[in-house]
Amino acid sequence: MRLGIFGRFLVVYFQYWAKDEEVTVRRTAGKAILFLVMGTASFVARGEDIVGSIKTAQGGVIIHRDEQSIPASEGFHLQLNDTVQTSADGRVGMILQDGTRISLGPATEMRLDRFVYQPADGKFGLLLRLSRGLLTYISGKIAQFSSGSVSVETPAGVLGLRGTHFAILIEGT
Amino acid sequence: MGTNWLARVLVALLLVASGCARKQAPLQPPPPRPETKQNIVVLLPDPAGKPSAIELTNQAGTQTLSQPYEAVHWAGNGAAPGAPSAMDPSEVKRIFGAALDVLPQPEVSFLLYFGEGSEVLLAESRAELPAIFSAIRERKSTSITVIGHTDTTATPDFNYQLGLRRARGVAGILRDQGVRDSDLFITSHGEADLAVKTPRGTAERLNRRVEVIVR
Repeated sequence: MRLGIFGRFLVVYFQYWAKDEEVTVRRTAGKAILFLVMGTASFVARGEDIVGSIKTAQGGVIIHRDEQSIPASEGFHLQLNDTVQTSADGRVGMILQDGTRISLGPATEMRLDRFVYQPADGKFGLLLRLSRGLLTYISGKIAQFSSGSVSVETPAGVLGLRGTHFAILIEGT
Repeated sequence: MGTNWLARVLVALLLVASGCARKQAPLQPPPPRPETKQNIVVLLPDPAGKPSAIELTNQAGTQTLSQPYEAVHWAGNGAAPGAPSAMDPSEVKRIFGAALDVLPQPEVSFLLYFGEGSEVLLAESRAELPAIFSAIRERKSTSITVIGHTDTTATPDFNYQLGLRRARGVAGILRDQGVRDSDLFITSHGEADLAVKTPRGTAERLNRRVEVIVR
């Protein structure tokens, strides 16, 4: 979520205020500012910031974004640098803005590290960072336009993809 | 009294020991799976049957998978990946099924056409709209890209704007059907992405289009 300097300042300011439990006036003001910040964020967080959406979420699925942990649901918009984490009973299916399809099994953690889909400029790139767990993948237009621009980094090694469909399990590093 | 005390301690120790032994048995988790922690990558068949490959590289080596259902097993970053071997589809399902089952269906795209210099949909394309609405509903889509295109009449700048107006018009139709603004990704490629390559200044029906991609 791109908040800009002003937005970040407001968030920090709100966090500072929210800690001060005794001064209710300040808390009210804090809430008002949070409302303002969220309004700004949803207005700014458009277009290129959104890299995909969640199509299926079962069990525990959490999105880690900046300092926040957001429970994910179907339809949720994913942003660059989001980390998608499933619990022991969780699994999730998502589609990126270029049509790439990714699913994660239980006890899995994956970060959307790089997503570049700019056909007009001939710029393409996709980097998924799989820390652990189960990932399956079917390629989209990024791979179609630029074979070799897609990779998956894991603690146990790097996958360079000229492939369209694969599955990977990372348990040991 | 000394022996009595010693006896009590011994009895207590025995009780504790036996208690531990008795308690531990039912509390023990189910026996660990015989397989050790492992990493596996498997190449799956290309949906269109095209050739496909994956290269796995770590500190200890590199392996290339180039056939469907070829798999590589390896222990970690310091362990060289093993040679690719065929994995039974039932084994793929057993290991990867939990994730494979929730892979979304592919995106679907629609083309809508316009008259020369016009932002009004051709009648035949208007008839295509219900198919788009139902695709959005079926998929509960929250990601719909609308891209406007033009032919090569007029200037590139004008065409960029015309493409944008076309895309916005179609987005408006989708909005009227209840699609949320935040789920619409509207853009124009102007004349930069021709469906049919033509010289400058050519009126071409197939280039005057809006592409709607539903995910």
